[in-house]
Amino acid sequence: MTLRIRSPQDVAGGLVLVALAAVAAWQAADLDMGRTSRMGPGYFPTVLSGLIALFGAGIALRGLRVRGDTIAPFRWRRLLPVLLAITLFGLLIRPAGLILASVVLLLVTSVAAPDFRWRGTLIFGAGLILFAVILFPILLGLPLSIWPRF
Amino acid sequence: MDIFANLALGFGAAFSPMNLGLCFVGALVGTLIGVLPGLGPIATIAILLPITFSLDPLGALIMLAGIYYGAQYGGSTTAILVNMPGETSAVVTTLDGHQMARQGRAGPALAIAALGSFFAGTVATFLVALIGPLLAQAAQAFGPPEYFALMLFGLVGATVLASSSFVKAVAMILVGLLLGSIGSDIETGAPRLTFGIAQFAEGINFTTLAVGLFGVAEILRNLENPEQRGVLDKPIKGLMPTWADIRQSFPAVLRGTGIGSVLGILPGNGAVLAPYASYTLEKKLARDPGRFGRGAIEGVAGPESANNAGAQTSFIPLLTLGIPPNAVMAMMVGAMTIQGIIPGPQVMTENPRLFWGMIASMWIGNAMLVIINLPLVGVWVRLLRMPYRLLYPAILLFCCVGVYTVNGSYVDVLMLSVFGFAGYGLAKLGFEPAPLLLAFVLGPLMEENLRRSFLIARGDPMIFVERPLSLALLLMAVGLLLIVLMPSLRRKRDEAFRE
Repeated sequence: MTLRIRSPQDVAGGLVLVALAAVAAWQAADLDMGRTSRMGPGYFPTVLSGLIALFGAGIALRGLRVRGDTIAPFRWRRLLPVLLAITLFGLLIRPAGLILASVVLLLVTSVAAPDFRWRGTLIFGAGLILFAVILFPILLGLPLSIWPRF
Repeated sequence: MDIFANLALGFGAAFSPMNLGLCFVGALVGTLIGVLPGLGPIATIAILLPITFSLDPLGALIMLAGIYYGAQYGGSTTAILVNMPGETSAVVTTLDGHQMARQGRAGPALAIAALGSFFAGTVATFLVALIGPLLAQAAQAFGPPEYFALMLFGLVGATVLASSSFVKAVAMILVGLLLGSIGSDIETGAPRLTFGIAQFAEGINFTTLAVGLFGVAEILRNLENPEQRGVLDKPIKGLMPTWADIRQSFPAVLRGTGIGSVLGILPGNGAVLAPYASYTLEKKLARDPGRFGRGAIEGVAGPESANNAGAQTSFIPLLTLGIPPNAVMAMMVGAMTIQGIIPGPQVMTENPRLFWGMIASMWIGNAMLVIINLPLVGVWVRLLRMPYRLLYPAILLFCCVGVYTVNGSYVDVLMLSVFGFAGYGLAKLGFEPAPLLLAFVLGPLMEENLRRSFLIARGDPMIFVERPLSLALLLMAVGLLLIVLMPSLRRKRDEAFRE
């Protein structure tokens, strides 16, 4: 008998859950389980990993039997600039300060827009950064350095 | 009853210039995010949390609450003018509201939506004031088993009202509970599921998770679908509804308020489901159901009242029991905890100024929203023309700054991109993040109460059925489950979500 996948969405989703449960169970393996009357730190996470694996397997199996949705393709060209922009902001915010980190964030993420244009992005971005600098560190007194620290 | 004395105390607290200002800012920002697509109330509250750090607890909560119900108003403006719901709870309003706009009756549609919402908000605020103290008193009798049963009931409710598949919603709850257990164990302090990373010892940051799943993921999804926003070009003239409009709408507003108030208290996302329920009811009761979908004013009045009533009454379980009924209220728990307030029945007795001040501010905020929405509608229309390619980088900047300033940790920002990607992937696989977030907040509380219950009972699970309150809550949870699993009702539920 050949396996036919009737719902790629469910099969993939179920397998992701099983994988997640496996990672969690592996992490919780060293923890003390305790007893039901006096639960140790490992009790709750281990039971949850088991249940998640069970549900994941169930969802994956259902995907083999019941017809369902296909997985819509991941649009990496839209996705990656945004994720990269956030990561760069995280790495830059402390050493480089709010202004430089914001410039990098706005430029990198703007590339993901289907109708990207330099002019509007630069003008609007400059205004936005000015607004952010005035609002966050100055008006609200949030602990953000504006310029790079040396 | 000294409810009037209590309300007087509340209004006294809410009427300070500072709090009035915060209420106004909250309602204004809420309207803004309701109007602009691509940013829900959950993400907005999460992003603005750091801004509230410097405020006193009452002011912070007043502003955040204002954002929530402001979004309910603003969402209807775009639904009517652009045929695009700015907020999930305004989906039904597009059906008849936009038809009215096309017939040149955008003014009355907007006016009825705002006035109906205001009426519903007023009634629901009084309900909160009336029921709140009673429930808080009942909660004094709650022990660990009752709290556990209550939270279980809440989570079951979240799965029942999730629009995706039931099994997937349960899976999301379990994942949320698991994520919530990351960090140091409450009793022994042992690090759990931290992968040896020091920053995980305090657990995953709630704000990061919420902004990632609801803010960044939403941006990623929106970028895929090039949007078409056909803003109505006709000028809006004449806001005043006719007498016939008012006579037709009033019963619908009353019924919508009733439905919304009840669904808002129940666990799950009442403010999302209530408008559907109200619309279905109005269509059933109408003498000529054929008018619906072609600009029937009851189809705007009922659902709009229902979602606003639901938004107000969903504060009841949070304020009195300390249990958030939906993901937005879970955000409010986060906000309260940051301010050093543990949500629960003790808030009302120990901090009556906060409790009643917040309730009073709800009414004030609703009144402000009528003003914000009606005369200023032209401003909102102009904002709608702002292209998304400029909008989303701005939202992203706010997300990043917000997440960073909660703890001043760059690791949180890196996690933001992880959770954003996770939220995007979940959507692709047909999972919904709202039950996950709710379970994440409830998880640690649930585990604590479960462990205590078993400690009291020496490991005997009978403790949950021997105590009448806990038994009643568990039976209610089972009842909810049966409702979902019964085939005939299930079909109806699916229909309701498809509409």
